[in-house]
Amino acid sequence: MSEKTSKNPVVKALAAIYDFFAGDHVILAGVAAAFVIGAILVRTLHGPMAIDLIVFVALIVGGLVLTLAREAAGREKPHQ
Amino acid sequence: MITHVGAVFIASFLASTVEFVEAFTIVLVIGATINWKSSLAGAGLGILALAAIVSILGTALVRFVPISALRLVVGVLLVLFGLKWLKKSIMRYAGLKALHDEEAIYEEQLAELRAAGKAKSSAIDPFGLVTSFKSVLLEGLEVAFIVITFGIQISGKGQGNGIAIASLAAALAFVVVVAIGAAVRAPLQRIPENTLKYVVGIMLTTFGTFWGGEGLGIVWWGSDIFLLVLAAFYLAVSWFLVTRLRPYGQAASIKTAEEAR
Repeated sequence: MSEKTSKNPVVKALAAIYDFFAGDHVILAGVAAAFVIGAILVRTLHGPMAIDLIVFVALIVGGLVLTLAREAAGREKPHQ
Repeated sequence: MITHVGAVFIASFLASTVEFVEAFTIVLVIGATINWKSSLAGAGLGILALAAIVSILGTALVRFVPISALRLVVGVLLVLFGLKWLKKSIMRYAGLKALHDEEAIYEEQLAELRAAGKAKSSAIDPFGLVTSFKSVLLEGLEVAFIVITFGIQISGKGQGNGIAIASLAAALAFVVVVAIGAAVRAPLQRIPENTLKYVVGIMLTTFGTFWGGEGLGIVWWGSDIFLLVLAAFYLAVSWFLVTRLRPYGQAASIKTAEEAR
């Protein structure tokens, strides 16, 4: 029996919801970090707004860069 | 205000176009192999289900959840959807992923239906109806969420009925795709799907960052004008990533060509 068919329906439903909303754990982690760290910076540390803004956007972009780097790392390196 | 309403309309229209093109391919296969009655009935039911989801969920969210909480949730959702679309389109531009080929999907679905022994008939075919319904519902679900999230923001800012504006854009996209599809009666492969996906990815990420940031309490310089700065930044970053990844895509295509020889 394949792994796919042996999964229980609840796990399958959760996996489908995850795929629908995120589908990529690196992007999900980056976005979660951006919003959690952003909230801490803005609401608790009350740092300069410029720092909050830069950290927030950088973490969002960081998730995208990391997931694409992982995709590239799994492939053959181009000849220089 | 015009920035928001116009951008919401454009983003909803483009996102809907991409998803409806994908759904249309399946609807077309069902119509060509089984019959148009089953295919269009299934698609119609799918559209009705989507409209029900948007109106019930959208209205309930606007009415019962405070806008400050919604802004955060909407921001997170839009950034997640946006980055997902951006990642796919960057990989396609870089050659790491095949460009979406509606013709190949059409042929594949056609072969599957023929293998299943499905032939032309005049009566409503339950299999055809359900397949058509599922394709429209599943492809349209992401659009429904985009319409709801965008719509809620516009409604929350007191700039009119945002869900109606976003739904209108989605309905217009549906009419355009069906009209073009009915005219050509073939998979819509000339629609630049990856470009649309890329533009929508940039827009969703930009608005998600902006509204999510507002939800956190970040005050953006220049208010709405900062949306343009964010969009330009995401465009620059994504294009930089495409150029950095392109050699990997070229290496993969050279390897495939060598293996085929």
